[in-house]
Amino acid sequence: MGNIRALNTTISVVSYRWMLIIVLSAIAVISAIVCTFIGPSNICGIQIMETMETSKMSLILTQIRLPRVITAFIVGGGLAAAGAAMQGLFRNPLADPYVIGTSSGGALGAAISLVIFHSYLLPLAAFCGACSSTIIVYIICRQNGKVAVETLLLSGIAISLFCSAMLSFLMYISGDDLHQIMFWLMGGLWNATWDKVRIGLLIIPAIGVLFFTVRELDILSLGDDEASSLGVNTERIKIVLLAVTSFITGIAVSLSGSIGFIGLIVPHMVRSISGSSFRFLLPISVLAGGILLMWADTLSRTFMNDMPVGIITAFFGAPFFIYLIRRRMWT
Amino acid sequence: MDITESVINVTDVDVKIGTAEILHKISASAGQGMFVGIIGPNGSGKSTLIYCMSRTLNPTTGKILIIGEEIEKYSRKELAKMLGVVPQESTRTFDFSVDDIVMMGRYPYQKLLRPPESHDREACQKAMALTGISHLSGRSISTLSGGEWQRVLIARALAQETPLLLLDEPISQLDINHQIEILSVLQSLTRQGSTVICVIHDLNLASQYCDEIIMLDQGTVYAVGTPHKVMTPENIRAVFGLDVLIKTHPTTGKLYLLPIYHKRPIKTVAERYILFVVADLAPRLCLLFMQPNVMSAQVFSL
Repeated sequence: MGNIRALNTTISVVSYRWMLIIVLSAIAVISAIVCTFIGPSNICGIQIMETMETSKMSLILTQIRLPRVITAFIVGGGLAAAGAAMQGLFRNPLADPYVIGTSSGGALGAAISLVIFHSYLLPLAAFCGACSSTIIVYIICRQNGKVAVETLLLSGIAISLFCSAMLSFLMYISGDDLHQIMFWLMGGLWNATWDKVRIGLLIIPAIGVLFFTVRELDILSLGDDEASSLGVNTERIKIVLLAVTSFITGIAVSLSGSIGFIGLIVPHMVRSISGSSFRFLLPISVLAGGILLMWADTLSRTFMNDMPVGIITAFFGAPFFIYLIRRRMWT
Repeated sequence: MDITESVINVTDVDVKIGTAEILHKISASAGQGMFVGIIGPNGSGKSTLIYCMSRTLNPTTGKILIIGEEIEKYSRKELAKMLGVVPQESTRTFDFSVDDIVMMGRYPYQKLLRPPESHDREACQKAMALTGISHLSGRSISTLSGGEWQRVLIARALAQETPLLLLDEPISQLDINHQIEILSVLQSLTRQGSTVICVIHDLNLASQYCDEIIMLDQGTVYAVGTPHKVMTPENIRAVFGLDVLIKTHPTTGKLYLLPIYHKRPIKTVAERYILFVVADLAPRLCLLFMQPNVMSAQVFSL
């Protein structure tokens, strides 16, 4: 009897999570369509059919809004996936590409390539920057194979500040305007074009690689020693995860600057509805992160005069981050 | 014991961390179907020895053979099919369900991206039934007590279905009923051919369940053999600094220890004198000074 009941609850929990994935996918598709039709220059479907300026309208829709919506979804989903994976990797619910300095490393790399190579190899440079700052943070805060919360946050902040300072310095000497600096520091999606979308598609296979490691992520979050005694090749999986999360962050940064806190907030909210197991946490985070950034961007470009969307995510993300730190202190 | 027969064979293992020598020239082995207990005072190197045996820690020098093959030759996954490890403690960072944790024991058998198969599920259910946690199925691990969590970790190691189990104080947080239950389960596994190596703090339980006991002291093997051979008052006094009476259990015929509840025997004349002054004379003199009207004869009456 007990077994049957347990089996039933297991099945219902699993199917509940599958339902969640299906519902969120549907919401993502609908949101993408709705967001494409919302914007400062009011276009709705009926208008397109009625007016003679169809070509201009469709130009706005297909060449400006649609790539922007798709980029927002890919970047948001990618950052959420990278955040979730980093939380497992660092065994720490406060890890996120923005908090531990990966984003600002990527932004610095992108800026360097922009100044020196005139934006050839920009995604590659962003990846290298993201990767090296993650590795530096990891080396700084690793003690006896463990990563302590405090040192992780502190070294992440230190690297972040350093990269931001270098970024400002680069912008200062290269004579770029304030708008460009804002783009890298705060993140925005106003540069999105179909070319950018094509680069952004690289994030999808990277997320795919993360799906291959869900079991290892689960086990890794128990600790290195336990993971290796359960048969996980911890060193190899860590290198894979660091490389993939840095890759995703690097690409995301090269498309949209460093948009903060998506990777922190989304996995947290998702964990409370789907549980901690990465095989559901990861796909649901990708969908939720994509939807969140799509709407945040639509909000900013429609009602806030195209304010950098990073400001919106930071506006909601930073208090949430403080709440998480406080909650950790209570428990 | 012959090397080829033993499931695990440790030869001349030294572990140095910095300048400190944690283990020195440790040699030990366990044959198939043996229940081996590791005992010793705090800091004697019990956990370190378990770490070496599970390749969590590489010894500075020395050799460890698992089923006749050097431990480094195995991949992590192969090793996880050979030996299951129950750690002393495990942090619960994220909120998994009990079933998720036990299923992690099946990791070395699972294929990439494949969902768990029916024999994986069966192994988990069996392990949970053996450790008495079937009723915890579906619970989240953050709601478990320390003892329940410890049993979940034991179930995870059992789900690995390994010929060798290494346990580091697996029963330290259990109540006496579950301590006995878990040790009995481990003992029945050894009857079916598994080998169990277990760090135990409770010497009575060790003598009750172990076929062989390794007694560690300051990083060396002080004594090794059957409980009857190892658990002598002399050995216990030398290693733990405690005087005990050794009796035979009326129903099981195994040894059990009764500590003699006095402080360390006082040996020298100087020690006796200091004790007399501090514990006997001084309080009486204090009393005399505080209450002068009390007759000194009363105070010093013996």
